[in-house]
Amino acid sequence: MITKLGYAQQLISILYPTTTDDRKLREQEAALAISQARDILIKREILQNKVETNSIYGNWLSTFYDNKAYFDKNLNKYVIKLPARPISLIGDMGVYHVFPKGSEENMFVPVTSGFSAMHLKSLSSMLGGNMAYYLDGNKIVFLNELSKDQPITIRMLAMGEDIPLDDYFPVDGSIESEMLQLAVNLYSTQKQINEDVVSDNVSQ
Amino acid sequence: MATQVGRSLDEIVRDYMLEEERDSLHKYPFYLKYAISGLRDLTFDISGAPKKVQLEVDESTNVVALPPDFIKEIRVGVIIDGVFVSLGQNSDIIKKLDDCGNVATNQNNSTNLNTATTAQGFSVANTWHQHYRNGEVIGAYYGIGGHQGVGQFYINYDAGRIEFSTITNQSNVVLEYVSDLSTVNGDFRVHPFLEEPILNYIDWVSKRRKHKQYGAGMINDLQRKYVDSKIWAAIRIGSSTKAQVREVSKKNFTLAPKGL
Repeated sequence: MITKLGYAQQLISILYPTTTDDRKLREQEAALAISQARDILIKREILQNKVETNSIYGNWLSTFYDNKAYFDKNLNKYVIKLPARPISLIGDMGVYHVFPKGSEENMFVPVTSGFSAMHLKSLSSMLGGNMAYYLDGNKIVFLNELSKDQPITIRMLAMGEDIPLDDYFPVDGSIESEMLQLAVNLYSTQKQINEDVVSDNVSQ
Repeated sequence: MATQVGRSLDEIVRDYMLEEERDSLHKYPFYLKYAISGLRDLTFDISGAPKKVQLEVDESTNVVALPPDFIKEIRVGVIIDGVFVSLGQNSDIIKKLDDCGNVATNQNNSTNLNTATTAQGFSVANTWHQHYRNGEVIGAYYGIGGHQGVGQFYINYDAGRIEFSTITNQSNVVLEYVSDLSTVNGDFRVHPFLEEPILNYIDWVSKRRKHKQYGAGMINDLQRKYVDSKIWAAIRIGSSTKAQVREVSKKNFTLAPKGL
């Protein structure tokens, strides 16, 4: 299993084959480049495949357990702050599955933020008896009452930047090479710029 | 516990989403909305069973509120000696309103069929069973004259109420009507014969505004597919059993002496 750190080190070794501590690219920056490249590629891939399939590859998803809801007085609803930022997709599909812990069959129904107003007094507003949520910035807002103690599991297409360095980095072999290539392109310009390596106000 | 026929609309929408190769509930609200429209269309045209309710008349104003799921009346009447007796419809009934716009109380509503009188002033004996056979009115209100009955009503759709001019001394009326869809815990029950038309309806309606993506020909095909499945559903629902056919064919037989 390659972590984000692993990919970052690979990127550094591509750009700086004989690495010293004073290299221009730090591991954190390399990891950021890897994350950005990965996000661009998977979004592109999902949108290209949309004609063929309406699902997202499971190995690109990240699952976050034990999220607890709290009551937001401004919204007058229960909300959960997202553990990571989702990649924006049509229909807010970046947040893929939300369900009570251990009860995947009772998945919450994703709706749009205007749902309550648009479906006002409509028979569809009851959503077939299902519970619903909508995405609002960095949080999800539940339309129904929720127990504060109920742990919620969130499965989402998280932005690479929000995945810890040592965690499983959801990407597969088919786009690894393209991802590294894109990251190299992002930092190859920086590599060509002279910099003050020995702190003598002379860029080399 | 009684077993309910059919599946829930929620299950059918999930079935459709599976056919669409969806792996999450995104777009579920849209498909559910389409499915409800389809179910409503099929209920009105094919499967809708008339709903019958007993309503309590406000005797001071002689009006009664329409049920919230009321769409169209089939008949309005009262129960006398266990038999449904229709009231006459009269669009000339106008209720006086008080200063607040509510129906004024103590309006004239005195005619009572139990003591209805003919134009000549003779009382009519209230022998309802003589006017009905096998649950059907056979008339025979001799001498009562035209436009007589247990009472008359007018349905005021704007105000959402039934207004009575005359009524029996019973405080309840029976309303048989076409109802809107009703939910059980926020969901709907769907007859198995209607599943296929509903799936086809969702398929058609969800694509009919996307001409550029699917082309007019395909959208027309989907509409035709829906209409075909609706016709098949109507045939299936309307089919009769052997016993029902026999019942109808022998309905008018009477035990008359032969050879006369």
